Amino acid sequence: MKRKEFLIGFLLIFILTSGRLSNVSAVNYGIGVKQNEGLIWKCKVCNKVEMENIFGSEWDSSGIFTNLSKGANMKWKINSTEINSTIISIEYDIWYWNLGEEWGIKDNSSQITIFVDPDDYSTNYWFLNYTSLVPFLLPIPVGEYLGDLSVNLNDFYDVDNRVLPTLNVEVLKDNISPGYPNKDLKIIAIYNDRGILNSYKLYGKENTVIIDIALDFLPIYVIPSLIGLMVVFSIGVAFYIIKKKYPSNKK
Amino acid sequence: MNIRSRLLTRVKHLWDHKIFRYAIILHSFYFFLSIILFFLFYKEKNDFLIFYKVGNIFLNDIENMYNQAYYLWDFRYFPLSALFFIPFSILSFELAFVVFNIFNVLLNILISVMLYKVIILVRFKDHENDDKRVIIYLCVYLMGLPHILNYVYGQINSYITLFILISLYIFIKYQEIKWQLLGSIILGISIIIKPTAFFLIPFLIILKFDIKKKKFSLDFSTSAVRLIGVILPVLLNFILFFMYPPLWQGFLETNFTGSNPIALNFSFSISKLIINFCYLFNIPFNQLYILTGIICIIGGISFIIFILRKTDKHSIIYGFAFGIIIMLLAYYDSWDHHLLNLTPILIIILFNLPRHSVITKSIKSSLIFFSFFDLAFVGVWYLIYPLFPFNFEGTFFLLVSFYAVYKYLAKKNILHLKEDY
Repeated sequence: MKRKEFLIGFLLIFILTSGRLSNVSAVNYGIGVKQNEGLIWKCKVCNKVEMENIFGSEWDSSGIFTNLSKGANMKWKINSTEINSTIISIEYDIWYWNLGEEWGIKDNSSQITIFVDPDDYSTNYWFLNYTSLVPFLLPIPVGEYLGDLSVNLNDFYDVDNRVLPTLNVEVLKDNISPGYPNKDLKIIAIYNDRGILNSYKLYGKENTVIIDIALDFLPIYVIPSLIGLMVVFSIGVAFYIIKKKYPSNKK
Repeated sequence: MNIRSRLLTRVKHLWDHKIFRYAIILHSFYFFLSIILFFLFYKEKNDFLIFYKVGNIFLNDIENMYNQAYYLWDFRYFPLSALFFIPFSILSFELAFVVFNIFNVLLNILISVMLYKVIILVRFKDHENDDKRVIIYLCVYLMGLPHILNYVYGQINSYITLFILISLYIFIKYQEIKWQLLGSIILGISIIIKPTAFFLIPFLIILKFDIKKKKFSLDFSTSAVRLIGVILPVLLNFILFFMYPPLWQGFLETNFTGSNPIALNFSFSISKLIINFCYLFNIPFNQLYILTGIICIIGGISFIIFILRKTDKHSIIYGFAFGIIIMLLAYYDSWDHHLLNLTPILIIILFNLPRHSVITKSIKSSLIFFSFFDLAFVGVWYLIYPLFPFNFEGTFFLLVSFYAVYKYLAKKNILHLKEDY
């Protein structure tokens, strides 16, 4: 009897406290980039003709796509980061897309402001102030932030944060304004764990890649891990072949 | 001896085995770990959140069941699956998750019982007469690492596995038509909950082609009963589709008409490996065409092999194995916890084969990989995905299993599979 009472009591306490327990895990969003940090993105694909067809002839004269072309790099230098209870503010210098090896003098300075609480965004929100239609920086943990933000995002956006924090965008012709965009487009934007845009792909008709931009940074562990995997796999295959060719006589 | 004392005696007998004690401790650890991880990290990022919501939506706003704005991730299953989640939707979310996972634990116990029963039924005559080896493999199932993800995400794979095993047991044990109908209805219910067993349907047809005689043989009545039984529960969904047309539209859009390119993930299906390849190298692709192509190739080959099989005894086990392997290789998202549907079938095959068969090694290595190593390669994928986004190791062992099943079905005399024959 005592055991039963104990179990019922335990269950009741659990039910009553489970809501409180869950509040313990409420996410505090922060900034993933550091002051004086340099970020470089590389453009792998740029179909200028298609971009002109979609966004008009001025598509690369201002905004994040300024002077964008295949093989070009863009650099940001983070000047300051600030976070208060409502807003995250990041000031940075920008060197727009260029093919040269020297960066020279910065092209512009700018500021990003992001709400700390994704609920503060208005419903049906879209990132229209970015030519790319997605931000280049997001708060961390980015997967959770995108998940919370998804409630307020416009129908164009679809968040997939199951594996890699991903923002999928699908905009149909004339959906933003008449003639803009002039064709249907899709975007896949993947962020790294520091909230930095890691990969940006803009797709056109029949899923052809029109723009491919990637963060020019490879974590130090990637190549050793890949080599390790290949070595283990090769040894495994070799071991299997040897065993098959020279089976042990032990029966 | 009544049931309780029989049960106690049986548990005591099992407890005498060291590996069983380890398996119970480890499995309990998985359960408690999942509860802790849920409350600390995964409360707002797990599959159960979708199941929990769909139960509510079914009751209050059924027409919007496929409105994906309501869900964290897409709800894709048949509408009647929501019925299953309604009882959980009545509870608070946290409590529902814990109760759901307690059910998962109980289901794993039932799965072990069913697995044992099927093994005893189909065990090849040259295996040991005692059940020591059977217990070891039951423990392998219980200790499998995919259980961690199954619990953490609040997934429903254990339900599917249990239904598959019950139907398999019925198909093998009872030959009467009424039992064949019951077995297939149970399989149909599993498809309603989650369509993992969908590709098992063709293998319910008792069709065979004798190459020498160049003659088809078909057990029409049993095949027809099985097909009716499995399709009937699935068809019940169409009553809902008929009553609420937006449901049909939403179901189609979510599952079949999407042609968007999809970003990288660590699924080990062939479709996903191809999609990841296309994504990485900027090759235009349509995910629906890739899916259809893989289903046609893998499914077609499997069905042809199955029809041309040289042996009939317990061939349904191998048909089930094919069906699950097709799903895992073809569907976009094949995760580690989906392997819980396959590993029990592989264990049954191990016992159905001669004790020292030449294909035992292939099945055994796949089973061990799926149970203990596949999860590690998910971690490896995260380390290497910027350069090499292919979680191909699971695919490799699925193909090994596929080849082993083919080898069994292609041999005329199963004794030929013995290593020392």
